[in-house]
Amino acid sequence: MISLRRLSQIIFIGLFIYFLLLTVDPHSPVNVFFITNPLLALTTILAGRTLVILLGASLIIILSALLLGRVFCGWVCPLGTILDVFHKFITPKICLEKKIPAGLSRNFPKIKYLLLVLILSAAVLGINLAGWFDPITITFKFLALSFYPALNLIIKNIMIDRWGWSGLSQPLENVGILDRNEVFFQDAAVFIIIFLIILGLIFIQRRFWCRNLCPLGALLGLLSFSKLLRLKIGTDCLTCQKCVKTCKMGAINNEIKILQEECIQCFACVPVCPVDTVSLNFKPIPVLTNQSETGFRPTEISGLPARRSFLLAALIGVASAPLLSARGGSAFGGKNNLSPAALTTTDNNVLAILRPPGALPSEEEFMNRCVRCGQCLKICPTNGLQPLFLQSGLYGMWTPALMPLIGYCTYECNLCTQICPTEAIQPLEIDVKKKWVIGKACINDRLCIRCGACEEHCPVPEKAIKAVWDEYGEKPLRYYVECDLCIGCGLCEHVCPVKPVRAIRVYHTGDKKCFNR
Amino acid sequence: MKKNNNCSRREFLEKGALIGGLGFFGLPLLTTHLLNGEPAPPEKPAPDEPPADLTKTISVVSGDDPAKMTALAIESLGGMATFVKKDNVVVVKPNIAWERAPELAATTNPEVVATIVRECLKAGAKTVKVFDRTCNESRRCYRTSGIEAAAKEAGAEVLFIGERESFYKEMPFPKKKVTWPIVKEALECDVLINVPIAKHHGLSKLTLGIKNLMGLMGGKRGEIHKELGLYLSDLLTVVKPHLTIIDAYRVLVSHGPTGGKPEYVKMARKIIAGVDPVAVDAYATTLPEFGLTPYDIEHIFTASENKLGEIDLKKIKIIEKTI
Repeated sequence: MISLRRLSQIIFIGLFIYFLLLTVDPHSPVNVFFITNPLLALTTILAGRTLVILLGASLIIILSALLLGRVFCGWVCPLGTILDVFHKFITPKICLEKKIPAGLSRNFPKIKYLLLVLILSAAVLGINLAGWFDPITITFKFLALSFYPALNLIIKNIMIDRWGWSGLSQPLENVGILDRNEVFFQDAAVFIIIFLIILGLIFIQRRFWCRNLCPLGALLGLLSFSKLLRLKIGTDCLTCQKCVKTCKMGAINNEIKILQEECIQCFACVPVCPVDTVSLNFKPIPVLTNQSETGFRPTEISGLPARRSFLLAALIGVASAPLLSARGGSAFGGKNNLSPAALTTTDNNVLAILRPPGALPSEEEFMNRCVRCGQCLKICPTNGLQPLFLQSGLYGMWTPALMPLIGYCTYECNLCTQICPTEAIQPLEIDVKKKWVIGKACINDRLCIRCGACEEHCPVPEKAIKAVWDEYGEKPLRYYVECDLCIGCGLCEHVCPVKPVRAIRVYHTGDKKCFNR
Repeated sequence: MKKNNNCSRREFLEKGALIGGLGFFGLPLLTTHLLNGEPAPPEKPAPDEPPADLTKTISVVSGDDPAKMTALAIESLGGMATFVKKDNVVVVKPNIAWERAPELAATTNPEVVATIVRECLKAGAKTVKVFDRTCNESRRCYRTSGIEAAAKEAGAEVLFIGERESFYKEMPFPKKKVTWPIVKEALECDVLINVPIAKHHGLSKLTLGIKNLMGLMGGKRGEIHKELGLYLSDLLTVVKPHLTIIDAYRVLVSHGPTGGKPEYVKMARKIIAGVDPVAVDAYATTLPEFGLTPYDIEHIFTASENKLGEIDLKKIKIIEKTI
């Protein structure tokens, strides 16, 4: 069973990376890890106040938890696999877990349940925090937004350019490990730091993240109350504690009592038992008989935190709503608009940020629906979609924004609208997308050098940028934006050669600086 | 008799002059040939200059099948073997700048590119490389234009030109007195074939062969539009195409260079080929779809001013054929 589990882990992390590399054009079903994620589904449905059909696929994982417990954590989760691998190859010798007294090391507070309650209670008030804590999105963002660009940089600039291994580029491009364009995501170092912290915590305790922090694991643990595949320990237990030491989740405590919601069905404890009395199977425990007749120790206890801390977490979640919401105190229905986030909005209640095409028109709805999974950023062919850090307030962290200085929205492409798992970016047909207004371009006439690059590049067939010619038709006197035609794709700003401030810039129509409205 | 002596002297002089002449002109040829034989020459041997009359010749083929027309246009100039020798590395530079379907006439017709690739391979080329430094995102341009698929199927190597320094070499622009990054592959090849599409351009009125060479420039090319004529003449001194084949099968007559609507496209049904990049461009301006003269296009005029080619079509032999 253990080798079967390892095989499954290898297959699923392989799939995860394969789908990650496939997250370029053309579109294929690559967001399967996100649409089957029950935590994202739950928060999106609660916070977005809507049923997203795509997320119905998460019922598979919910069902698996109801029947088999946390098999997702033990057999599928890519972050869990990464932690297992790192533990196997790096830490056994220097793991602090052995140095901490056994009793203490197994008693870190189970913050994950509180985190889950916090996320869900905030979601009830319309604040979507899942994207910050969900293990799948954390792993994806680290791999796609930090690791992948760094790998590209190393292979292209050092291996190919400096060492001259030019034979490397073609095969690696074909499998998608190398991008043909340069890839860059701003503030991507944050994802490295987060990931390194999660990784570093395994020095303290094996799978520290899964045991104590992961809200998805907490959700699946709670769902597994009725699971059929249960861990059992017979009465002939020698209390040798071999299974206790083997368990990477701390699901068996020092008194050989089982915390069923912690068990991730990894089967590691079964073969180590010297008397073969630890079992993990579907056989039900007979009820209403006394202990000696069932042959099993009545060993299940609950590892859930006290009810009081649940209440506290719920309270924090509720309190986070007015602090984070773009609507401020009106998250409660009032008119008070004094939150820091609300102060940065304009009269239209729009943060002046260029969102991808198809993004929900209301900034607030968009941020409530977006789970910060980073897939739109990875799939954008021009690299123009970038993760925000604090530009739109704390709550807007890691939501996507179009940054024309880095890349633009290419005219014939609707990939980001196709991949969004929560429909925060609504799926658009290509003809609709071509007319979608992201913002409006504005020319600063005093900076413009009349080179005409913006007019040349403008992808709108009728040309949204036009020239006023001199009387001989020889030289353009000035350029102007035909406001009705402009879709704000940002290509003009991207190609404008004027430095350091571009002579043509795209602004959100809610922005004060946008005079073309 | 003295007459015999006379004759033999004349014979002697004649033969002597012949042998002397052969020796005088032939020996250096022979020695350079021998020298070039074993130790590799410092510079790659350029393909033989086409006969003098070819530089003053362009061929224009009208018809309904772009592939056949292209083949015929090359044949009229003496066939691809005139330009491409055995084991040459050929660069075919089409216009793939925009992410547009071929029907919208913003990019070179893929059939034309594929035909040229086939002709090059038939003439014995070692590799044929097809690339452009695109204006839109390259993967999507290559695919949407249909050129990637067509060129690969014809046997070409399709390259992607990235933004890294290693793709470019800084080349001096003599008139502007600046250096500009130029795609290395275009500088290092044996034969450069320029395959533009004839279309309208907002700023320079038309974009043809010379303007298409801008696709070999790196850096921020936008700013050169201010002095397009000067920059392009300089560019033409740095990368000189050995053959220019203008795809004027479908031409974009307004809203260039990107176009985007079928209404802007007219059928000119012509393929224009020639060695002189200015002459070929000059002819293309006179197509009835454009109705211009070569002197209307600033950069063509500037190029001829700088002695880079012949702008006067009266001095050019035009071979016209119809399929």
